[in-house]
Amino acid sequence: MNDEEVLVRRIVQGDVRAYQTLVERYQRLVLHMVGRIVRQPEDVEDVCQEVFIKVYKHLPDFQFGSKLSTWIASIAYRTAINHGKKMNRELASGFPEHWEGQYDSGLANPEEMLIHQDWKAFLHAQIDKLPVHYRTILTLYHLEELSYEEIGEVTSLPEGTVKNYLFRARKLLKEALQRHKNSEQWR
Amino acid sequence: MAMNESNDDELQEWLDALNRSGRKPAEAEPQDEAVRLYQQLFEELSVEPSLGLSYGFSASVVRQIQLKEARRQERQALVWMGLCLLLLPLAVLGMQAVYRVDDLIATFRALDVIKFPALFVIVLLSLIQWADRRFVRRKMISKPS
Repeated sequence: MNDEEVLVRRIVQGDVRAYQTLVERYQRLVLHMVGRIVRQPEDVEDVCQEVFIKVYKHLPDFQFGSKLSTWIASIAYRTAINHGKKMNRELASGFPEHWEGQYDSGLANPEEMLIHQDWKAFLHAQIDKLPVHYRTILTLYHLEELSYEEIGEVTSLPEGTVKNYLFRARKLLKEALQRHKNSEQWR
Repeated sequence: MAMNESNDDELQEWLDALNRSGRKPAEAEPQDEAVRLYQQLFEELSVEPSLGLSYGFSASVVRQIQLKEARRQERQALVWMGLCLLLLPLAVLGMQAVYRVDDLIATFRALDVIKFPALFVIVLLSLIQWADRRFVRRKMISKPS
């Protein structure tokens, strides 16, 4: 029995302090997921708290069929998506059709290029414009270093779709970055 | 560099493999605009966001869970108390059967003598239990450790 299984067993037996250890271990992962999905910064901590309360409630059902981190991330993903649906009807329909066209035209806005003279700030503004699946996959892959398979488990998307979304998201961001650099040269 | 879809995918795959192995593209490897942009993008995507949780976040989560658990136990205790009160007449009838007292009126007359002290004890015990759960236990949980 590994360290994680011992910790889960202690929690299930009613050791609430052991749960505090689990929260400390996974709060960074949950924050990254929720922070990328929830648009209102003031709601992020509340949603994170909701995630950990759900994790505690469902922990007795966890059978170690997957990694604990993947299981927690999937709860965080669903909770944040549901929060987003409540707050923003746009998310309820998932992917808006012709979304990439809107994204491209959004980037061509010269005002925005002026506002975000710093390429990093500009890049993060573009990431925020991406659909929720793209943002989540980028976070899980680059920040949490999860594999395609694990990301698929978290988001319930097939591995091929995960890879496709990841590559498309990065390509879109690279093109946006290129446009920003070109505009800088003309300034 | 004008790049078609498959070249772009290959470039991303190549940089992915380099990043995951912790290597950086060597000088001899192609350093065109697309590679540079992707490198910048990959580096920025791996940077920890500035967003953070409050200092006592984990303790606050634990307190929330304990409070929920305390409330659940309170509800459970109330249900048990209600059940006990409902079962009280049945207990009286049971005692009647055991002591073979046929007259129900006589039983109630016997109980009538102690009705106020009995009611007082039941209400007092219930109040103590309620106050303990509502004010003492909840306060103990709410206090940061």
